[in-house]
Amino acid sequence: MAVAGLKGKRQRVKEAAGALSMSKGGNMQKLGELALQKGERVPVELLALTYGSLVRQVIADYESIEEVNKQLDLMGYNIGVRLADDFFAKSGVSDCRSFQDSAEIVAKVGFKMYLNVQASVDLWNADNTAYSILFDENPLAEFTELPEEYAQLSFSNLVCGVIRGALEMLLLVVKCEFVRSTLQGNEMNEIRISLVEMLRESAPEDDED
Amino acid sequence: MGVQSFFVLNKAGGLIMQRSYSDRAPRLTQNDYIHLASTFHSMQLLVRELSPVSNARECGGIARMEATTFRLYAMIAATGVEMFVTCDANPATAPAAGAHDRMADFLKEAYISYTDYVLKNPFYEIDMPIKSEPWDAHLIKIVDKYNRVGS
Repeated sequence: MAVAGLKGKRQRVKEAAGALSMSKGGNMQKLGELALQKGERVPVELLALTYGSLVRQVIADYESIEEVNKQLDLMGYNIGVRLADDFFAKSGVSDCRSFQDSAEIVAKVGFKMYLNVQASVDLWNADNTAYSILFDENPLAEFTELPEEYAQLSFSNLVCGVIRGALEMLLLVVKCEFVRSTLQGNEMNEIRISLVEMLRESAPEDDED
Repeated sequence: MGVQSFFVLNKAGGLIMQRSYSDRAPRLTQNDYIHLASTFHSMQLLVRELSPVSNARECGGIARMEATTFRLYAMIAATGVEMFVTCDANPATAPAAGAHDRMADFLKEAYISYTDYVLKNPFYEIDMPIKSEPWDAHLIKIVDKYNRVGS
C-alpha cells in the first residue's frame, strides 16, 4: 500500500532532491517511483486517520508514554519482518548486501514505495555505522498535533520498527529511532539508524523457533 | 510446458510448502519431500560457497538444472526464502527458446503472491509450514497460465 501523493510542495521538493542526487541515488529514486506506481494505493487521509486511532488505542492501553513508544516499535517490527519480502518481490531491488547499501535503499526506494515520501540519507558517522534518514513530510502525522502531556511520544515510531524488522531479515541488527520530528516543532523528521551487529549467514538465528 | 512440482523452503532449509501440479510428477511421501528440500538447500549453500564471488550472498546460487527427464528452476530471495519448481523436459511439452526466462518469471510471480497471500496473513507465523487455501487457488491459476504459454 502506498499513499496517494499530495501535490504542490512535495512535487517541488522531489524535483530539487532529484536534481541533487547522484547517479546511483537517481537509479534508486526511479525504482521507488516505479514501485509506487505499480502498487495499490490508499488515500492519505485513510492512512493518517487509521494510524492516529491506532496510536490513540495504544496510549489508552498502556500507562507510560515510554511503553507506548516501545509497543509501536514492536508492532512495526512485526510488520517489517514480513514487509522485507514484499519489498524485494515488488521493488525490483534484488539484493541489499551491506549496511551502506541499505541506507539508499531504505530512504530512496522504501520510503517512496510505501509512504510516497521523498527522503534523503545524510549525517553518516565517521566509521559508516550510523546514518540519518531525513524527510520533511510525514503522511502518518498529516493531521496530528501533539498535546503537551504527550510531548515524549514518538508518534511515528512504528516506522522505526518497520525499518528495524526489515533490516533484520537481511541479517543487519540496527537501532532505529526518531531524533527529530516536525510534531515536536523541528523543521524536519530525522530517523537515526545505527548498526548494532551483522549476523552471520551460516548460523540461522531462528533455528529453534 | 508442464509444471510438475513447486517447493518453498524457509531460510533454514526446512520445507514449508510443496505442491504437485502434474500427473507425471513423482508421488513421494511427505518425509521424502522434506529430505529432498533440505538436500537441495545444502547444495545451494555449497554452490554459494564455491562461487568465485567473494561475498557468498552475491551469488544467487543454483538458478537452473537440466536433467534428461525434467528441468528445475530455483531462486533465493534476499531474505533467504527459497523456491524451486520442476517442469517437463519431454520434447512434446518441453520449453522452447526463451522458456528459461519464463520459468524465472513463474518463480517471481509465485514469490509476489507468497508475499501477498502468506506473509500478509497475520495468523501465519514466519518460517512455519504454509497452509493457505487462497494461495493454493492462486498458484493453480499461475501454473495454468504458464502451462498455456508453453503449449
